[in-house]
Amino acid sequence: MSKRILIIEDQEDNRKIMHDVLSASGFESVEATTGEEGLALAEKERPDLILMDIQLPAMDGYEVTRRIKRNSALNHIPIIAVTSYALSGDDKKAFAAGCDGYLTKPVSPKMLLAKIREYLR
Amino acid sequence: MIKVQSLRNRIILQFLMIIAPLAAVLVFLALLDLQRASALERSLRLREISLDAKDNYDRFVEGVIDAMDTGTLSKARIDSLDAVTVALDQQRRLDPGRNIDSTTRLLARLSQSAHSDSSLPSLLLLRPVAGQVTRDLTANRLYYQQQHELSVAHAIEGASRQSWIVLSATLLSVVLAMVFVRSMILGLTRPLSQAIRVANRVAGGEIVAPHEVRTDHDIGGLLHSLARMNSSLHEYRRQVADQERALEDKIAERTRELASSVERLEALVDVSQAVNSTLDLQQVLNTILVRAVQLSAVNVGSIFEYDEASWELRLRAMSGVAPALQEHLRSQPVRMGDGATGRAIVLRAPVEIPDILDPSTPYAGPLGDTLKRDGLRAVLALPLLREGRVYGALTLARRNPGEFAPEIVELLQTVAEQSTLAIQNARLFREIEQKGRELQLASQHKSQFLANMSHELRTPLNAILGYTELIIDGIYGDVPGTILEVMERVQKSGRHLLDLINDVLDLSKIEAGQLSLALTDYSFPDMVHTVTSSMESLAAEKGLNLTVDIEADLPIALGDERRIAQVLLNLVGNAIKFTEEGHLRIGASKANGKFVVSVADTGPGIAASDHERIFEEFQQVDSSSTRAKGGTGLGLAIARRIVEMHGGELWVESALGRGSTFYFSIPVRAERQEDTQ
Repeated sequence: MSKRILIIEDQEDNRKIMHDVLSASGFESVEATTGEEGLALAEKERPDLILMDIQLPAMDGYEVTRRIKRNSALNHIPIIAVTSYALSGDDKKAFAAGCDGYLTKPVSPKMLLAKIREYLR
Repeated sequence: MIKVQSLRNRIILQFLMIIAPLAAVLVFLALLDLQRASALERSLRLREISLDAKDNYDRFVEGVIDAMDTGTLSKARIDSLDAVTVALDQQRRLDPGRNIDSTTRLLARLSQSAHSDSSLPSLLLLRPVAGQVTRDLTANRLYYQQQHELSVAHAIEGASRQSWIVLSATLLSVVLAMVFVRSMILGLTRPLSQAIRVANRVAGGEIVAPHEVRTDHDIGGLLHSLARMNSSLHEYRRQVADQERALEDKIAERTRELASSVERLEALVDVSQAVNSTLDLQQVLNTILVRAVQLSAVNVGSIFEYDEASWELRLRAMSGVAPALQEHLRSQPVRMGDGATGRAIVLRAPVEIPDILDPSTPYAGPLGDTLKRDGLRAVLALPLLREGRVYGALTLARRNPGEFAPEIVELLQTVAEQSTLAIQNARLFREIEQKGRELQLASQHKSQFLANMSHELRTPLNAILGYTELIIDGIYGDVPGTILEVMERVQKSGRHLLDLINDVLDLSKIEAGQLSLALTDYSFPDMVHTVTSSMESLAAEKGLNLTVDIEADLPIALGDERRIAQVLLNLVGNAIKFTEEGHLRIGASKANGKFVVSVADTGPGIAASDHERIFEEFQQVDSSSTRAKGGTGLGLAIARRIVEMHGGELWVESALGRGSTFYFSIPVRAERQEDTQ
């Protein structure tokens, strides 16, 4: 049974790359372009893992993460933050918000798969 | 001229007057004495001769008497008779005046008889002759006896008289001498005592006019000279005293001037110190105003700043201004032409109004009324000008009507200049501050722009790199070899571009002060191991031997581990990049509370002249090598900034052909550093 992964990413190219990598590796992916949409999809789809872009318009990734982690029905889902080139302290902020893992863009397909497999064992 | 010559002559003359008669008497007496002595001697001699004659004759007579017994007259007796004759001859010679001729004749008869017939009988015949001779000789003897006694008596009488004469003459001389000496003494002492009196008066500071001095005596000239000297001395003293008084007056005046100059200078120093020591315009103007009011001895002072936009003067500082006037000045700014202040601005020169009660002055309006209510009469306004520009006005007012002293106006102009300077400084400072803020903002904007731009650039680049990698990985199906090769080139260039963007972002964040260190405790050896092991494969690919030497028991470090690792990664990356063969040695140790890391390679080395340049942005020793070796040219600049932010140093020791050793030292426990900007 293929694992379902929610990709919350406003950038189409990044979404597509992640999608292409995931599908090539046998994952099923669900995509959201905004934080609000991602939050809704998380509740609706109950994915096995969430790839969370931090720099989102309106509600950012930290806030979406906090809300998911406050939701007892969802807080077991591992969230991997995917952010732009690491600003000093971004990783800490991500972990503080409740993210389980942390990846910096550009995300290499190999790194992405390795990280995902870490949380979906 | 003192008549010393005549004085001496007079003394000699008076002396002679006393001595000459005395001497004449004495000489006369001496002559008398000699005469008496000679007479006495003669009388004595005659007495002896007469005695001798008588004695010899008596011996003859005795011989005759004897012969009466013996019968013969001895020869000796006859000789005695001859001796009588000789004596009588002597007597005649000595005293020719006495007639002894008869006696001589009788004696000659006797002698003849005695010699011719010395027989007694014949002698007896001559008895009467002999008796006559005896009587004559006795009488002769008596005569000379008397004569001698007379001479002696005469001599005694003369001597006695002479003594009296001498005594009298001596007394007379003594009297004369006393008179002379007295007159001498008086002659000398009177002028002398006058001289002493004159000298005392002179000494007492009295003026003795020459006519007050008697000049009819010898030292009169001296006294006259003394008086003249004294008089001219007094004149001279008077002149000196006059000059002294004039000088003292001058000194006093100068002292006053100096004191007031000093006061003014001090005031100016205060003012200029105020201008230079603080940029708080209000404080400066207050200081200036207080001193200006104090210096010019006025009651009220104010400084206005000119507003070029509204052509109005606004009150900026004041001293001694009554509340009503304050209110007036605050509510109604002075306009050009209003009062002394407004006029000074228009005329660009000091305007002085000695009395505002004078109806011709421009103080008819409410401002004038307020001033008058305050009892102010004289007003002086100085424009604050600089380089033809009006900055404001310094206005002073006084309750005493009247003009202001020119030196005060002059001084206040200096004060006005200082005020102008203060206002100008303050404006310049405001401008500089504004510029500074703008610059800071611009710099922040630049850094923000760079940060934003690099972020924005990265997004599409990430897409490019992502797709490229997916293509190369065969996600989209098999890729022919030629395309794969091209895709790998695209990937390589894309990664380089990404490195550049990342480094620019790092640097701009450092410059914008946005890069803050995340200080944590970490293991320094672990950090070094992590970095070196991640680079081992790269080194191995180029056939370089990489050794790591870490000192045992290094303490736990405090710092931004990720940034320090970035530094070490950069240094090792560079070493591998620029070394074609040989080996790399990485060392880590601790000295003086600092970790010291060295990265040594056997690469081409760096000339001493390039040792500093390589730490500048976009500088590599050889720009062609940048393309050949890759790298952004920003790595060392960033590394150095990071090390410095930790309070450490990054440097290189190298020479061409000798390889390079990069060192960095950082405190074991880094303190929280302010950003380097």
